[in-house]
Amino acid sequence: MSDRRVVTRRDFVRDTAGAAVGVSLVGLGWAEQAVRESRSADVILVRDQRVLSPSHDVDVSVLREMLGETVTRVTGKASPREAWRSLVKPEDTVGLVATPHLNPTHEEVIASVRAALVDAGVPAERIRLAQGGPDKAEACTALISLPGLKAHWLTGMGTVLKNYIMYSGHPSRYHDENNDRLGEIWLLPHVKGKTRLVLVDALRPLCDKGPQPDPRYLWDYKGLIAGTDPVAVEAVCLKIITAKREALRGEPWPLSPPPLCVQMADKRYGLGTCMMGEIMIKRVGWAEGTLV
Amino acid sequence: MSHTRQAPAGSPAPPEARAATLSLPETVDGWSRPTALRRIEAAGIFDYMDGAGELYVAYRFDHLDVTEYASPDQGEILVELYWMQTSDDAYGLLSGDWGGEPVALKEPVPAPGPRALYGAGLLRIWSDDLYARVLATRESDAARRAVLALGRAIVTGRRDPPPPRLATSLPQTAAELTLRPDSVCFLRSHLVLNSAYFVSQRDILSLGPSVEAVAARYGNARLVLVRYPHARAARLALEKFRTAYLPETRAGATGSAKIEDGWAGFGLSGRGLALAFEAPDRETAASLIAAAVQAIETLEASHE
Repeated sequence: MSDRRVVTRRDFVRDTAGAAVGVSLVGLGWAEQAVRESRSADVILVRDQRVLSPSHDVDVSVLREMLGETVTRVTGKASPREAWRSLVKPEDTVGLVATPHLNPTHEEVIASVRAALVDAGVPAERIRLAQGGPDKAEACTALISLPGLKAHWLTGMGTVLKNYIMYSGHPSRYHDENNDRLGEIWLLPHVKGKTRLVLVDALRPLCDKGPQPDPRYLWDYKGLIAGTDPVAVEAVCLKIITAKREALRGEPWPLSPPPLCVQMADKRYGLGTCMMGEIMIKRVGWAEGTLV
Repeated sequence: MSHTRQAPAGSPAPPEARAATLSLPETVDGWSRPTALRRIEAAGIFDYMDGAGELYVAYRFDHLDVTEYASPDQGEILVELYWMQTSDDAYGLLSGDWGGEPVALKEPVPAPGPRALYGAGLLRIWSDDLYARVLATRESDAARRAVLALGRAIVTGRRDPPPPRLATSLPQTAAELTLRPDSVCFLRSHLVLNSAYFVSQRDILSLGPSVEAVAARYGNARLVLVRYPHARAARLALEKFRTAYLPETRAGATGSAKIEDGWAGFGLSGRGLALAFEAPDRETAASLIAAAVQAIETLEASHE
C-alpha cells in the first residue's frame, strides 16, 4: 500500500481538532458531502444490572429481555418477533458472527439470538456460526454481527469493524499499520449488504490490553449495544471504552494506537457515521456508569 | 542495588539455563494440571492467539509453553510461559504495563524491581528470558495463593539479570520535568511504540529486532530514546523520521519545531537517537533531548 500517505500523530491531532468542523484525514471532499447528505444513525444501548451475577455468570432470562428490548428499539417494531422478522426472512441463511476467543462473545448471547431467530420463523438449520474465512460469509444471505466489546493493542478498538477480518481471506493484510483498511472488508462482494444487525456484547468489556484478556481491565458493564450502522455502533463503543479508561486512571488515557479504522470506515469507505453529533443514542435500563 | 545471580541482560540465556527450565508442580492446593505442557512454536503463535501474537513477535519470541490447572469448583488457572531470546525482551513485555501490585516471589528480592505484578487474578512475571502470565479465571483468596505459589515455582533457581541498560539510563529529570517510572516501556517494534505512544502508522524510525528503544513520559512530555546497531542506521532513521514527521526542521544532529501538540525535537549522537514530543516549550524540548543524548553517550562510553 505504498500509494497511501503515512498517517502520523500530527495528522491525527489535526484531524481530531478539525473533526468538529468536518475536516478529515482524507481531505475535505467527504466533509462537503456529509454536509449535503445530513446523515444520522440510531444506536441502542440496553443495560440491566441483573444480567450478571457477582461471579459474572449470565442470567439468561434477563439477557433475553434485554435482547428483545434491543431489537424492538432498533427496528421500531412492537415485539421482538416482529423485529427479527423485519431484519431477516425465513428463507435467509443467517450467519452469526461472534468473537470466537480471547474475551469471546458470551455463549448465552449467541444462543439467545439463535433462539430469537427460530422464534421469528428462521429454521434452525438455516442459522449457523459464520465466523471464519470468506466461504462462511458466502454461504449466508444475512449476517448478524455479534462482537465482544474490547480495546485492541494493534487497532485501538477490536470490536465491530475488526469482527469481519477473517472474511478478507488475508487477515494479516489488515493488521498493524494497515488496520485503517478494515472497513473495506465490509464492501467485499461476499460481505457487502448482508449485515442486518450489529449487536455488541458489552456485558463484560475489556478496556485495555486486548485481545488477550487482562482481568484488571474487564468490568461488568452489563449492556448490549446495537444498530444497523456499524460505524455508529463502533463510535459509541469507542466512547464507552475511552470514558472507562479515563475513569480508571483519573486522567486522559487515550487508546493507543488511535482507532483510525473507525474514522476511515466513515470517511474512506462510507460505511456509516463516526460523528457523535450525527448519532442518536437511545438508552434503556440501568443508568449508573453508562459512560456515554 | 543488590542483584542476585546477575548475568548480561541482552545476551541469550545459556542453553543449560533453559534446559534446566522450571519445574511446575503437578498440583497446587486444589488445582491440578495435565502431565505434559502444550508447546507453541513461533510459527504457531498466531493460531494460538490471532491478533495478540504480534505483541510477542514484536519482541524476540522463541516459543510458548502452556498448561491449565483445573479445580472441581474453583475455576481454572492458565499458565503461559513465553520464552524469549533475551532477558531484555522478557523485560520489555512486562514494561508494557507497570500497573498492578508488585509481589516478591524470591528472597532476597532481586533489585531493581518490580519483576512480578499481580492484579485481579493475573500474575505477570519477568524472569530472565521468560515472561510468564498466570491467570486465575475466578479470583479468590485461594486462587491468589495458588497463583503466587505457581509464580514462585516459575522463578525458583532462575537468573535475575538487570533491566536493559537503555531503560535504566533514562535521565531522572530534565528541565523541570521528572521521569514517570510507570511509563518506561522498552521496545523494539513500532507496533509496541504505537501502543505506548502513537507516533506514526508506519515505521518511520526503522525499528526492528536489532534495535533497542525506550519510551517514557516526563510530565506531559514524551521521550523516545533509540539505540541502533550502528551510527549509519541511526542517521538514516533520523532522516526518515524528520522527513515524515518534522519536515519543517533542517537536516542536522539536532532540531525542534512547534507542532500541533507542542514542541517536538530530535538529537542524534553516534548510534543513539533521542526524540521529544509534546514538550511545553522549545527550552524543555531541548533540555529533554540534551539529557537523553548525554545518557546514551554515557552508556556508549561504558561499552555496554
